[in-house]
Amino acid sequence: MTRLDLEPRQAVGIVCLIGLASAPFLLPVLTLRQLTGALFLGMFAMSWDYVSGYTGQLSFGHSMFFATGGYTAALFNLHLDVTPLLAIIIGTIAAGILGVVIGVPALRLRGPYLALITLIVPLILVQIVNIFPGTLGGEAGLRSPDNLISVGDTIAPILSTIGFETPFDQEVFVYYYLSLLLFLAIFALFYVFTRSYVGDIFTAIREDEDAVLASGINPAKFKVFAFTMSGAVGGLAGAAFVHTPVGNPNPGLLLAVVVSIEVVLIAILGGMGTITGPAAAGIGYYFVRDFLQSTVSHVSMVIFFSVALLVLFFLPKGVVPWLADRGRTLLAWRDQRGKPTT
Amino acid sequence: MSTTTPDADDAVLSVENLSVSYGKVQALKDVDIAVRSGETVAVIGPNGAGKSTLVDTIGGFHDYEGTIRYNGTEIADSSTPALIDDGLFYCTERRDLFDYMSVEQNLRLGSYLNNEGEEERLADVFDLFPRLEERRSQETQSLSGGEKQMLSLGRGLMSDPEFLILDEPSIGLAPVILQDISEALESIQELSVEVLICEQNITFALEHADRLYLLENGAVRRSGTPDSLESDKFVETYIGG
Repeated sequence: MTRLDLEPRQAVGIVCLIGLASAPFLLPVLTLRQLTGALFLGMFAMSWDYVSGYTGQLSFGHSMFFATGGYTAALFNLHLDVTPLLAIIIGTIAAGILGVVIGVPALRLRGPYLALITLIVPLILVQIVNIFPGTLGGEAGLRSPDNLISVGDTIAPILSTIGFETPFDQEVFVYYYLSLLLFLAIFALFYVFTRSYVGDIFTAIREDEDAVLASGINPAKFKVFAFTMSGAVGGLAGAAFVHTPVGNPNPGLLLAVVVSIEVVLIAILGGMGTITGPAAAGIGYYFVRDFLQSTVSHVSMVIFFSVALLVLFFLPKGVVPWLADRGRTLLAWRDQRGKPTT
Repeated sequence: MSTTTPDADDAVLSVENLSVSYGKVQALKDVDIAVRSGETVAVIGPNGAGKSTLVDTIGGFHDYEGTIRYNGTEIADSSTPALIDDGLFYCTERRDLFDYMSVEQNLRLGSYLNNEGEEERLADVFDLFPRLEERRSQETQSLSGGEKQMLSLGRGLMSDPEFLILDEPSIGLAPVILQDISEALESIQELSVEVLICEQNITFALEHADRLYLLENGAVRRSGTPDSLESDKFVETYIGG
């Protein structure tokens, strides 16, 4: 039998993948439903990290993409009877277009322009939602659009045989896997881009924009590309989210200022410029936040943000890079112990 | 005052009445310089004379008053990447290398705008600087100052330049390494590439330049060939003769 030689990080990745894939058989249905929502937060966090963690261009209002994708998809489905799949595609494109519209003027300049513009745009969007309650639902949001798929008569009996007997359980099961597939696809997309030549240039822009310019590379072009792609993927996450049973198009879930703050915090806690860190932190954050809200709701945010600040203070690079460093140290120590003494 | 500035009309690079200010501080005042086809020109002068400001401006990093023409075209509206695309590559004093990238990755960034013949140019750079080939996979931050200078020059050559600007190529280098850089510069000159060097090391500049300009307090005080300037009393104070 041949032995599979894996790097430790690859082994950890495979264990995580197996864990996520087998979650429906290990977790209670309600926890699985929470995990589905958490996967969307992970996708959104990855989209922020792709532009801000890699190119260093800080976006403080990334909820605008999540909301543009979510609202556009919901509106097309609710008012124009567009199928959910097509509505998700339209929502993704709309968020990408917003990325171009904001990115082209803001990213050609250096300085705090992008940060300022991204702070302001979500505030404008919140006002627009409130000005047109008839069309956009106002503070209460829109009613939920159609789900992406329905658990059909073909799948339902199969799911019953593996323990998912009620329609609710079956729906949770199906949407968990759909969300997981989307999460993995987005992870793979960002992972490939950030580990490519394009990713090298993103990082180079973050480290020294003048040096990039001196090499003959136009940083603005790459910054706009990263911002647009990040916006489109953030929009995709939002659009898909509202077409699942765990999400719906309301400003509190998609557009509120706290949504933008959360995604920045998640990425920093997980480890900026790693993709893996924000993906993992998005999932963890969702559960911790839900736990605090269900146990100490009146002080949950105080506790949560205080703990987050402490983590940032002691682990400024983020939790995942810290864990990776500890793991490497442990392996080095083990290898050292295994060596024969002379 | 000795001035032998060639006619700007036959120059590949001509700078006329160039003035640059940082707020209220004027760094360059009415500077005129020119580089003709096949020439190597050096700009010498003490610290704070405005040498780096001059080449930073030509490289597209500063706004300016006056005229800078490259191949007859005003560069005011050209971005740095556009200038590099037109064959003008500027190796800054900062060297602008990415420490966390390998030597080879840094070199390949130089051919971003022109990757046709990239492999041949990479081989040429390794011929010129065998030390870089030995360290091609090594992280740039682990290189010595001299090796970083070689890498900066090598990255410039990866762009297949027609005109090279070198800001302080000899700065902080040990004599042995300086010899390597000198030899590399001679090889570059043989390729008919125009070179504009900013240098504090007057000996290095005199050795390689066809003509020199002496800059002081943001203005050109002297210009001429190495022979004419070596016998100039004013320049002697800088040469230490």
